[in-house]
Amino acid sequence: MRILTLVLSGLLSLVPLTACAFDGKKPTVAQDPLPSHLKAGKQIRIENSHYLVLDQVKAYNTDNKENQRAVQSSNAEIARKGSYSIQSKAIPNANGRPVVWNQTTQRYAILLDELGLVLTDNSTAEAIAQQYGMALTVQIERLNRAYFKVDANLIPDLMRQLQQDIRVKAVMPSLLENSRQPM
Amino acid sequence: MQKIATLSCLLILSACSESEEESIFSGSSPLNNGRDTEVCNAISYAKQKNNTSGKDPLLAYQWHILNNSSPGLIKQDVNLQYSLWNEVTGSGIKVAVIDSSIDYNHPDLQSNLDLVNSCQFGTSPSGGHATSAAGLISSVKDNALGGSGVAPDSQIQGFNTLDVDPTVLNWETSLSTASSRNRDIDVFNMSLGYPVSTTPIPFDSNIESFIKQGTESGRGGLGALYFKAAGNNFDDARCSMYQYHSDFLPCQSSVLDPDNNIPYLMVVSALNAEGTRASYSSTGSNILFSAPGGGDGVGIITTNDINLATDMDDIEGYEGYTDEFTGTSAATPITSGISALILQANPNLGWRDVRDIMIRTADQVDASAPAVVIGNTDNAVNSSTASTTTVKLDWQDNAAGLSYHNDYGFGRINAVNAVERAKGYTTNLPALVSATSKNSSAETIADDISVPLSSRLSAPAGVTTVESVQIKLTLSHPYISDLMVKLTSPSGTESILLTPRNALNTEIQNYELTLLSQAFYGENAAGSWQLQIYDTHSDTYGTGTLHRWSMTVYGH
Repeated sequence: MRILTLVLSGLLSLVPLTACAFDGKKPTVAQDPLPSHLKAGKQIRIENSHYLVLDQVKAYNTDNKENQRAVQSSNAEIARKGSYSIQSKAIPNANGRPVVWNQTTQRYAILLDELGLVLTDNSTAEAIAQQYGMALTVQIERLNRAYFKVDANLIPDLMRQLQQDIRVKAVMPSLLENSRQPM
Repeated sequence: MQKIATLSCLLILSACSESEEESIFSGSSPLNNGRDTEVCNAISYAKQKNNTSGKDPLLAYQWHILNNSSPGLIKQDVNLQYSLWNEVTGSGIKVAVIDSSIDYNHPDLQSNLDLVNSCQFGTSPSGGHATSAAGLISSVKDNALGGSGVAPDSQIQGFNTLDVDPTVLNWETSLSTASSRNRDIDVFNMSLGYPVSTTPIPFDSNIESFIKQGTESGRGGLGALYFKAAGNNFDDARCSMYQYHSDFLPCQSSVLDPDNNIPYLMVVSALNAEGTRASYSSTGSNILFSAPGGGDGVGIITTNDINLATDMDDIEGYEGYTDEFTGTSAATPITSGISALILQANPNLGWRDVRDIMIRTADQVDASAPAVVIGNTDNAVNSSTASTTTVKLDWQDNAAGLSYHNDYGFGRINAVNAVERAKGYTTNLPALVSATSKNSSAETIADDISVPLSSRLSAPAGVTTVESVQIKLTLSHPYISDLMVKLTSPSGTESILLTPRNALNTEIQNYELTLLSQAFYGENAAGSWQLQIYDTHSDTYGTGTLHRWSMTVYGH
């Protein structure tokens, strides 16, 4: 077998590179699997991308031991994203987060417990936090941005309210979409 | 909240003292103007014996530091002569490791770990990676255990940022120098990056803002240093199934990790033991330096987790040490460690002074690395057609007399030469300034490699000498990985900022793509800069549009 491999690789090395004409084929876009009946929900815009907040789909962080048990006993997983299991329906008594569908990339993203706002005036951040029941955590004054801790499940409704607030220029929920990893 | 934290601290200390463990609760430091935003949990550890001394048995095998067996031939090192440690060891320099969890009980690390200010996010520490990165910087020297870090007296402050949700709060906690926890950090080591993506990843202005703040305010205004891994995405299965791709071009270049295009970061690529590009190491115009990262059959020797899960095997007979660590994740902490030696040698250096020293003392490697071309008629990479377009340059000498290559930046870090230059460095670089020029005319990108789009911008006023150039292109194109983006300086230096045939197999509409080039470092900014965009594959997808573009020159 080894001799045969050597002979074959020797023959291959004699074939000029130009003999392999470029076939012109290209890979096509890869997308996450999402059954069509689940592709329903309100549309939101985050910066330049449009997302659907998927009504029925929830994500469960399996780093949480209670969620881990709940996910193990469920058979509704449709995808994984980092430590999250994306389920086609909510698991009772488990702590799930909203899942959004990026309509451009056709990929899932998960809403985190954090909401960012671009403000017309940085000094209004604390008042906005109090009015909407959020906790101010980060202010980036040079970008006129403030970030607030808030339950991710409240974010879709809060977004609609905040978009009507004249003190707010843009609403930017934090997403788990593209994750940095050890290299 | 403060009282609860203090009480928790006392309870933890009390409970742990019975089992001979110690725990420091470090969660009471206000991070943001006194706001109650603490997200770090206590670091738990068991006190390790710290009284051994003697020669480190694995030091002689740490080829990345110094290769005594075949210097200059194989297993190329960073020229860290052991005698250099008689002068500088990183003493007094603190390096933050932004990563997964460190094994805080590792006996070859613990005495160099800042157990008070390290931050444990969440409750599920993941191991394997941060312990190895930390060991390359600062495992203890002359304790008769394992090997040595590059800066064996530097101190490590850990952040397991990659173990938890990527909230802005977690990233600010990790990267900002504004908090009391972080204000003494000199160097940030970021052995991290994005995996291969088939759609472009948006530029993160928040991360840029935290790093900009750190370079302005860290180290008492001299600026903290941020080193980041270029990425391990040159090879990927997604780019090996079609002849459209090429073994000669990166599947995901380092510019497609948007963090690498932050001009305040220093991006590091990886060399294999032969001193050429490690097969996995992402390449691109934002790379500044290269350093040993192992791979292609030879790993780097460093610390390995003992108490956390790891997928790397121990070296036989050496529990807690591995020779399997590879990646730009290895090259980056080696570089961070050398920067700690430089800072000890001359604590008055600003972050850009250190960068300047490292650029000017780096060694060229793989001098004959060839260019890569695409045939203008057959659209094939490195074919033999008569008329071709270069899509990856060989080493380029810029007008400031510096040689640059997208695989290696300005070359391999040289520890002895960098420290020597630092000692004699007396005048800091002038303050960093930046200025932007914009072109808002929409132009068509023809579906023909021989007819590139060409657009020019005059250098913006206010910057004389270039350090970095960042461009923002607003593009529409039916298949983005067909595109090559090239920028030519007024001096005629070329830099390819986006190599084609990458993993981006998607359409984009009015998408703002941010790219960075370091190739023009030291050149005069004045004059006309030329942008060229090539569609490298004639196909049925059709033309694209450059809607507008801008160029920001950073320099002095």
